[in-house]
Amino acid sequence: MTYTEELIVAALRTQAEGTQADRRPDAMAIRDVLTRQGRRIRRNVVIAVVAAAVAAITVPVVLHRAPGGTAAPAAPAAQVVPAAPAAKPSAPVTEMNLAPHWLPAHVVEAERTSTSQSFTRTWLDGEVDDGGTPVAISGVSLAVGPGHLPAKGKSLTVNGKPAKELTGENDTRVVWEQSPGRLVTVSALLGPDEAQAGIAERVARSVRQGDTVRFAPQLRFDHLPAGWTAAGAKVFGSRHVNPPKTRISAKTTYQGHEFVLTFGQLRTGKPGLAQVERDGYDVAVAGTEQTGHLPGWPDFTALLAAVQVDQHADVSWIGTR
Amino acid sequence: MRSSFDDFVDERLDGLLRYASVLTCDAELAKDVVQEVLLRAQQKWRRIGPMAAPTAYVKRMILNEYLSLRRRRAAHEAAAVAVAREELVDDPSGSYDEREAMLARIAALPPKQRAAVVLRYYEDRTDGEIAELLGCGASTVRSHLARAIAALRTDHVTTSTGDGS
Repeated sequence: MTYTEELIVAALRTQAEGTQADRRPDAMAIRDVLTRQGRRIRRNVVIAVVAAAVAAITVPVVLHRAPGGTAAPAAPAAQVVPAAPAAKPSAPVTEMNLAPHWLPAHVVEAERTSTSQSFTRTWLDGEVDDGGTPVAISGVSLAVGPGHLPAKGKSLTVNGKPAKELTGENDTRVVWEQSPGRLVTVSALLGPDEAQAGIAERVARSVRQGDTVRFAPQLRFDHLPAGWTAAGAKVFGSRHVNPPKTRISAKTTYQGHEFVLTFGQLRTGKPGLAQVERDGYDVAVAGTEQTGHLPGWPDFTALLAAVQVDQHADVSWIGTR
Repeated sequence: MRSSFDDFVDERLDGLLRYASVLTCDAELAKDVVQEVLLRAQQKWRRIGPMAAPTAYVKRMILNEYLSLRRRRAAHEAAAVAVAREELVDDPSGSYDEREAMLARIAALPPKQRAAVVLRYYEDRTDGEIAELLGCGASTVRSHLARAIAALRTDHVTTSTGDGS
């Protein structure tokens, strides 16, 4: 080892040891931030779990928008997701004809999420941050998607239908089959409160058919590159995220692994892997670490070109009950 | 209730901060990089925790975060860090001055050269390991290191000073 190399080693060790106080990174500050996020993750795990579970199931609640903007009848899931390469996907418009007629006090709608097969609405008594993470004390979600009544859980009846109540660490869920294979999930996230189960049951029993809620995200895909399919859409907002944010996702399989990319307005200060301005909207793309570092893949320019903006999308439901 | 992530942070945070410090040559930036990476790791801990070497994975995230940060920042910033570091030199011992001067030069290296130097001389990585971490070939790593060493050579600095006098 040369003298220069020895000096490099010594210099790097000096830097690592932080011999001067102003060079020592603040570990305590990091622990505080991680602790806060840890609490938030545990508190809100139910919403993520419910959304993910519903996203994985396969009832076709997404409709095609017919020419002229009229919603056409429900199409099978396989037709909704643009499986064919370079196919032009229809603008997804999600409808849910179930709605709760009772909600806990103070909660307002903060998020709607749809996939080709499911639809979830979430009401919170707090906020979502600009990354879409609920920062709430309590909340309720209603999800509709394919699935069957689980065998486990406490048995009860909801509006004449057999149901199950499942209690987790942070939430209580009431699930039932609205029709064979179509599962409805009401989740109550109210912290360590024994009333949580009662809240979930009360919301579940208030769910009625007839009120149709439509969900038309501000962003949609048009002419996705070969091999990519639309995966879902999410709109969220709160007092601190105003105007609301829209994100849509597309997925593909590359070298045996599935990759999902998210397009839309990212967390403040996150430039994303690539971005473009489209009709007055800054649209960025975010992916995993792996996606961003695979040389020459994917073609972000082509993917971003597929994102279209609907200036007239209705987001007036945010903050309402 | 403590999680395995909490245990990981307890055991590894100091080491991760040291690693980020030598990569960034800046305590505040090192804190930001490690915090950002650990926040992401915490969200994905169900997948990262069971890995055979979660620390190596998180260190790789730190490296990637540092390199992506550097790509996003203005090129002149490295020079600014170097100048600021020169101003911090206040130890009368000659060896300390030399280390400080070396750190200033390391801080001024282009990001990938600096990463290669850190991986070689702080992490004791081989050319092949560095190549994998930086996503380039071993010959490129050797090129990064050769250019870095040339820029860091103490006799080069002395000669330059002499030439300029």
